[in-house]
Amino acid sequence: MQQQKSGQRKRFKLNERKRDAIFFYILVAPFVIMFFAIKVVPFINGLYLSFTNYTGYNYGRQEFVGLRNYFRVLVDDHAMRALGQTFLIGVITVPLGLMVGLFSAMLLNKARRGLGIFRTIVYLPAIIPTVATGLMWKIIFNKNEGLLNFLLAPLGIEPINWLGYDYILAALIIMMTWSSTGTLLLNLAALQNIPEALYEAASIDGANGWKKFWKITIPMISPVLFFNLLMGIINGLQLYAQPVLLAPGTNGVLNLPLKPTYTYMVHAYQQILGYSRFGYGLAMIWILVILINVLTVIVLKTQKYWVFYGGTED
Amino acid sequence: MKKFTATFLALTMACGMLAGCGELPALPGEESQNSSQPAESSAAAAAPEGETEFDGVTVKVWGGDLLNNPEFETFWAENAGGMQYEVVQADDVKMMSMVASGTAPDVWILSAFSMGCMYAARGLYEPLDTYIENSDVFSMDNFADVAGLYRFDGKEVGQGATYGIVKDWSLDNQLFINKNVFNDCGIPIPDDKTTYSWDDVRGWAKQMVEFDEEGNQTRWGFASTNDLYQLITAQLGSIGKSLWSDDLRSANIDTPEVREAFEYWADMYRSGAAVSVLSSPADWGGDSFIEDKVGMLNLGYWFGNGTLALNENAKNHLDDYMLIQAPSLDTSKPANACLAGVGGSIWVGSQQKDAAFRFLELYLGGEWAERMAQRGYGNPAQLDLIPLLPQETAFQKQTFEANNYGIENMITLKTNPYVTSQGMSSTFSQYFNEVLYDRMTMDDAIAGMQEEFNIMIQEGLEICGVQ
Repeated sequence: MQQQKSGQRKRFKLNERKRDAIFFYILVAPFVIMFFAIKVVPFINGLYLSFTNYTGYNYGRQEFVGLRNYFRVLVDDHAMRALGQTFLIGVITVPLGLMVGLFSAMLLNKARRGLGIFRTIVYLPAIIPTVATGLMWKIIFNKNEGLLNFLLAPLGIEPINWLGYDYILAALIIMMTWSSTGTLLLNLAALQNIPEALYEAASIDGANGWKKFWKITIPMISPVLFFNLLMGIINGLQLYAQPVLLAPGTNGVLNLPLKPTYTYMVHAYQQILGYSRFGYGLAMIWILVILINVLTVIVLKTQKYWVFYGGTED
Repeated sequence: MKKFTATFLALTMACGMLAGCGELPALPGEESQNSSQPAESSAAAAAPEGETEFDGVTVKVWGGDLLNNPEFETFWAENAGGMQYEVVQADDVKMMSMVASGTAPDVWILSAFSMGCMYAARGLYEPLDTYIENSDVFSMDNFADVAGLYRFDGKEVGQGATYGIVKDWSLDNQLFINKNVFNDCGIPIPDDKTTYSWDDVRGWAKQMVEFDEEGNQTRWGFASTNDLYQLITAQLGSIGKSLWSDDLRSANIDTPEVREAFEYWADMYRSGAAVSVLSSPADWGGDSFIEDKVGMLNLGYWFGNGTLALNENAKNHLDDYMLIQAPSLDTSKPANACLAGVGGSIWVGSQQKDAAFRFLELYLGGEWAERMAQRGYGNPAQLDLIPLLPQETAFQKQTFEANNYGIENMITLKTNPYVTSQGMSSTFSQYFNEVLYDRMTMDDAIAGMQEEFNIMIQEGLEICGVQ
């Protein structure tokens, strides 16, 4: 045991465990700093402002209004209707997107000539920027000069106002379904990880194509399907860009979609940037955050009934 | 060694990120980088050495057409006496952050009609009357009536202190007509100094409507980039009416005149006479106008020299187009009005207001304003520069005469600074589209708009601290 001599400073020694801990914190420091600066601080500030009458240019002079903004959301007919439309659109587009992604992956899972090109073509919609997609479809859907009506004309179909009240929802669904091949790669990877032996064994037992799909394919890729479903719900509830891109007008991001495609986030965006009701808009967004969390928890609870995480049994 | 290297890299990254939150001192020859005020363009080459009071001062500017403008940079270098300018690129949200942090640009170049008095009412603009009185470049007597868009006394737009200076503007409810379309429909070419009625316009527009064999509409009568609330504001203004009460504290939506205006536009849109959400070409109407698919464009003087004269498909036959007076609900009264315009103001929190005003003098007046007037991209704000507008070709002479006549017979529309223009536009669209598609009656739409506008006014009064 070392005795410290008088007049000498005690040497501070780090043991290996402490050194490892310090090293760990130094390595994660950049991420943590940025996460707090870019995510957490604005997050908390937004929550605080949702309880005020902040209108954009009165920062520092805003007043605390309690839960007034939150109660207002519940009695705002436009907000509630928009929320209903958002759910309706989600109920249609999320399953459609899952099916398109899955069936595209199944088609591309078989080895055939030119597979690489087909995969690129099918995946292309997912990598085209949303704004470009929206502008492209807006031209396609134009009643008088659009490609879609041009193609339908020889079939004797009168020009349809795709961007009008009656068909705008269908137009939005078509556009979003066309863009939903983003899950292709995940589905493809999942399909390629299914052991071929399972299908062979099923064939020996006399299973047909449908049974193999339902009893082998779906359970084996269920974790990926579950992930895609969850992301689809989260993104679906935040739907904003596509309805605005199809909306009439020349106001850019503040174009007003028609009622059938007037979603909750569009209403929140309008409140914040159109009407300068920042506090109210933030309250709307926070209610959506809570809603998304509740739905996520519900979906997570259901996974024990249909998501298979096990490997092969010994 | 690996641990040391990884630790060193992590510390370096962390320090770099933290340092990025503040302003780094500029190295010699470099522009300063500030995360809240990214300088996308800086002043021209170093100005000649001079003993001006603003030598070395940098004025920050938001908006305008100064980004990548080598001609202005050259002009600036020759005339600014050592003062520099820096263009700040920001959207509304970023600007709010900058105002909150006290780092907003000194000069704001924005729409006069939509934002002139709106920001003034919110206490964001500096009154300029004293500056103008002492200026060798500007004179109150030399401003066109459009300068009223920047005057506000807390009760009425057009009166009181001046919060901005208009840069360029047009009578945006005048009409550019396509003579080919008029001739094709057998409609006599209108006189360019006569005030026609909105019913005349509707009659012409309906005659111009055309469909092909498949039922696609191939020609429209009328198109406009003005929002519905601007069109109705202009219509009401022509008979001395307004969407707002006299004290601007409430909306006047539920009146016979407003109802009639709504009915008018519903008819124009439903019949296909006007480009609308019900039926439109692939573009907003401008290119279709040049292609003889639209007969009339509700645009002002700027469109002629600023777009038509530069368009490959139009510039060789400009005499096929002409500018006529704005339609009116009462043809015995003129209705020409500015519905947009661009102007400059000084932020009330600027620490260098004198320099900012000097910038306005250089950018909105003097030699630069003369040059811009000679291009004819819009009317200058100063009356003595109007004769400089181009008048060489027959088209330029015609548009100049019609524009000049309109200026002599213009009205100033009543705006409400307590309501955001985007809010007005969105509310009108929201309810009117429901009426167009027969999802709502006109009565319900008007009642809904009345209620929403009154709420918006109350919120605006609260924001502006007005009792």
